Amino acid sequence: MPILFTACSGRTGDTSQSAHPAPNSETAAGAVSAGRRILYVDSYHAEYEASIVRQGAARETLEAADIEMRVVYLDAKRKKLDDDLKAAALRAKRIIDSWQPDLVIAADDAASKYLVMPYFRNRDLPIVFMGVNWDAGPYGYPYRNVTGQVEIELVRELISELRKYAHGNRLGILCGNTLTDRKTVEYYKNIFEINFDRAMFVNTFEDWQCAYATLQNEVDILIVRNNAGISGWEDTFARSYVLDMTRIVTGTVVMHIVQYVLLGYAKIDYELGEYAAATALKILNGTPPNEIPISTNRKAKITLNMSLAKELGIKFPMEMIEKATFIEEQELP
Amino acid sequence: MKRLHSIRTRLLLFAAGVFVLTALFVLLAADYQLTRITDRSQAALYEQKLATIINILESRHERLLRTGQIEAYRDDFMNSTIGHLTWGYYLSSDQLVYPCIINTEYEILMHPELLMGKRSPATADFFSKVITLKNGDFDYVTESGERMWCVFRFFKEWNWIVFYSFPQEVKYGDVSRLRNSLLVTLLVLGLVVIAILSLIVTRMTRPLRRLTTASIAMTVGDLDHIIDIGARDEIGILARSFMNMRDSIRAKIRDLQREITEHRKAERELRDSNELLEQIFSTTHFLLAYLDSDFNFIRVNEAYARAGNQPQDYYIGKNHFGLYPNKENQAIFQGVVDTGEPFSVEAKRFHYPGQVERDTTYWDWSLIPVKDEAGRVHRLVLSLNDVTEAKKMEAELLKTQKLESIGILAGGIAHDFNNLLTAILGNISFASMSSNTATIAERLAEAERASVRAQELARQLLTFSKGGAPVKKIISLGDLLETTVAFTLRGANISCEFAISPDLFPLEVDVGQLSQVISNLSINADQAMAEGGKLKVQAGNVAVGENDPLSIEAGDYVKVCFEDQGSGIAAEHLTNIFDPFFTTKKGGSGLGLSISHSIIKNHGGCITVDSQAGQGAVFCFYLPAAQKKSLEKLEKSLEGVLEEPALLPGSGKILVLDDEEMIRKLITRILSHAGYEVEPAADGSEVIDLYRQALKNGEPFDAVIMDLTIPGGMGGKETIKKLLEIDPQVKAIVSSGYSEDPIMTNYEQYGFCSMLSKPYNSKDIYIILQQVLAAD
Repeated sequence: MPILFTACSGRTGDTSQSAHPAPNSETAAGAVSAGRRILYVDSYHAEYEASIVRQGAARETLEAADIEMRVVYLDAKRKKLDDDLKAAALRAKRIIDSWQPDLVIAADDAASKYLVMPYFRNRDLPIVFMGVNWDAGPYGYPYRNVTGQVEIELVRELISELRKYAHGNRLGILCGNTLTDRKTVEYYKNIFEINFDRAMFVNTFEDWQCAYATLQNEVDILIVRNNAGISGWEDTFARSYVLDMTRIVTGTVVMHIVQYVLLGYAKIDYELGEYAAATALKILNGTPPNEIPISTNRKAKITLNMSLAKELGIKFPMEMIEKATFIEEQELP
Repeated sequence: MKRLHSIRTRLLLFAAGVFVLTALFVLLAADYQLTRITDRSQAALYEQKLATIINILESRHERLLRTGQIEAYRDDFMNSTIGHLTWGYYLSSDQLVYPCIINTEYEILMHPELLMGKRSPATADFFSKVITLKNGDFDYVTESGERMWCVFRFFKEWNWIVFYSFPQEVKYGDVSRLRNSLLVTLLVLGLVVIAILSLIVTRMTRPLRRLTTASIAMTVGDLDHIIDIGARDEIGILARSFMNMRDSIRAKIRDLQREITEHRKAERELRDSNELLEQIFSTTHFLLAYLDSDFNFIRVNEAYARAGNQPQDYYIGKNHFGLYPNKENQAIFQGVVDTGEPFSVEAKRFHYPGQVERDTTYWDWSLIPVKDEAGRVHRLVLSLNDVTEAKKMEAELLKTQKLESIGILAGGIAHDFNNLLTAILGNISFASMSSNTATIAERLAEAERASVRAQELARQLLTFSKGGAPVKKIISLGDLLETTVAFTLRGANISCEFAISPDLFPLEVDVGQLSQVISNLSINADQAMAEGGKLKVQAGNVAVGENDPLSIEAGDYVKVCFEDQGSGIAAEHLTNIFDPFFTTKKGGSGLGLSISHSIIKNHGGCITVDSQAGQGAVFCFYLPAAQKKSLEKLEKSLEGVLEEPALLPGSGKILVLDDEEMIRKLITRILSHAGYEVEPAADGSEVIDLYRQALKNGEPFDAVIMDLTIPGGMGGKETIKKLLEIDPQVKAIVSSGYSEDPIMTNYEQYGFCSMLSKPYNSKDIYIILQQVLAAD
């Protein structure tokens, strides 16, 4: 059984000190919430990259307000069995009962599904959730004591930007043949009302190459969603292939795909953690959770593939240039 | 002006000056150093600022490169960069210095004032310099005269030159502010230091100011100004010295005031004294004469003129010894002039020259030297006092007292004489009746011994009874003391104990008078011890010092004390004991101690008494030791005596003058017996005739023995004068029973070669005669 409860704060176990607010804290939140306790329930594990970024953003904000934060992991990426996740959630609850935090941050879906919804629905303990993908409805949100942010992909913004450089309106999407990608496309359609003229789900790198070449002629705008589930994927070849084969504007909302597309609009994990901490402070400072509407993430990390742009003869405006990161900048020494 | 020259002001000015100089030096040094530091720091600062901008440009250029479409994006990047820099650097309103960018085409790309893309003729030279140098910095002056500093870097990828150009006033603003702050600080510090220093100096110079105040007060005569200086430093010492000096001055002033008062008083007194002296000078019976050092009269008083039967003016300008020639006195006068020591003499006998009819007179006279500023005697005051009458009275008193003493002695002397006469008469009578030659010779010898004792007794009596002026001669007191005491106390019922030092100083005294003193003191002791007792007589040498309370001159003295065991003298009588006619004895004359006091005083000595009632009395007298000159004279006179002359045979032709035939015969026999040829004479006139005749005959007399007094005829005194006129080489011997006669004591002054006191025996004659004949 892995240890889920990890002391990550410099004030771990020092409840006597944490019970007293920092006298010199002048932040808006700190004026009231200093010395309070927050338990961060991470659905994943400590080494998970997205968890590191989100948790770090939350910690940075809370520590600035002199709030003690502890973290408990549910390890949902590696525990696939439902019972294991329930057991992890139960241990998290016991920690909540014994440590008596003033607020709980529930990061990603597993925390809401296995901890918040079964144990803290409309209870007194305020909870802020985040990283719940696409829709909070499955967990019955909002509760009286719960608010949070739904995590979405900024595909609409991406498509809107790509249209500026596209030669037509035909929209296509290419991704691995996985349930997630298929569900995501469904979400695009259901939530954002985006209807793709061509949607191709491939299993191998060769299929991907073939589909990519095909789509150059069938759509004017191509969304490369993901390469998950595609066997035989070769990064270097994929990059050179893209340079050779691309004739239309392409884009993605997944960070690790940006190097194969003209324009990347990836969500920012830091924003999620920062939002959760800021909302927690707002609640600790007196705003009831039910007065804070559930929101979605808005910020994107824009990346430009200037080589591809050159090939396509696209010249981005300086506003885009200034905001974006060049794929080439990562490659240059 | 005074305050300006005060030590405090000068110290403060000095301190302020030093501080100002120091402050100026600090300011200049600080300004220099700060300027250098500022140059370096500003260069480093703006180098860094420029480097930051260049880094931005490089970053932007690098991104441009990464677009892969450099030409397409170049202008956009440049404009965007200018926009970013403008936004970043120019929007801050509190900035004083802005970076500027131009390109090598002299186009202004970024400037807070100049329009972009334009070229300014006014800045052409400046741009040209910047573009030419590309990197570095320089100072320059604008057309308005403002001093500027420019630092710049060249960004070659875009041919941009980034520079900062701003007034040096801004560059050195911190220096200026620091300098101003330093100046203010130094000024404040200076004021504080000067204020503190002023307090310190004021405190330190307070004693000096007090001293100054005191000295000013002193200058207006206030010497009582209190100077309260408690410091122990140099100022304190100075103040104390000043106070001491003030006290000394005050004391000096008091002394001067007192001296002035005394001087005025002295002047008054001197004036009074002069008036008094003038009055005394004019009215005194003293004969006063004022002489110069050559003994010429300057002035005489009326008494002097009257004594000389001349008007006062008569003497003016005349020489004293021209009027009154006297070698002895002239020598005395000259001695006073030479030594500067006053001279005085009492009761000096004087004959008016050429006035034989006038009696001998006695004068107390003194000669007082008056010295000039150089200490030389240039005037003499001669004072003469005729004490003839006093002398006569004293002589009469002496005689009176002596008679009293003789009366006392008479009983004992008569007894002795009777015994001696009995022995003489008895032996002669017995011899005359005896036919045995041996028995006759034995009885005659016994009679001679008794006669000698009688002679001695008579000599003592004669000595005691003689009167007149003191006739001094050199004696040793011991024998006289013992003999006289024993003689006086003959028959008394007291014992006598002598303690006489064997080496007593010789004395030059009148033996008769001294004998009278000894006798008086002995009688006094005898009378004090009516019930019997012991008289201690002590004699010894003493030295009397300058500070000795005795009223006698310092020198060697012989002290003689008579200590009796009598009833003593009451304290109230001690002060009168030497007054004439003062006596506590029933029937006493009150003259004995008075006469003794007078005699001792006349001999230059003094007499003292120490007694308490019931405890006896001690009378002591001091007599001065004989002077060296007198001793030499004595030695000379004794030379012949010491060489015992042969008695026989004598030779020579001797002329003898004596009014007593028995004496003439006796001398004739004695001298003839010794081999001399003797010619007797009874009168001086006869002597002169005989002498002249013998001289004429070529058989002059070898010596003449002359009695001093020839009743009714010419005595030795007159005769010698005539003989000297006849034969200045005459050898004459004066003989007299009055050994105290001045001619006997000073025979040489009268022309005699020696003297022979009566009574004398054959031995005495032989000795004297042989001495005279042996002399050249």
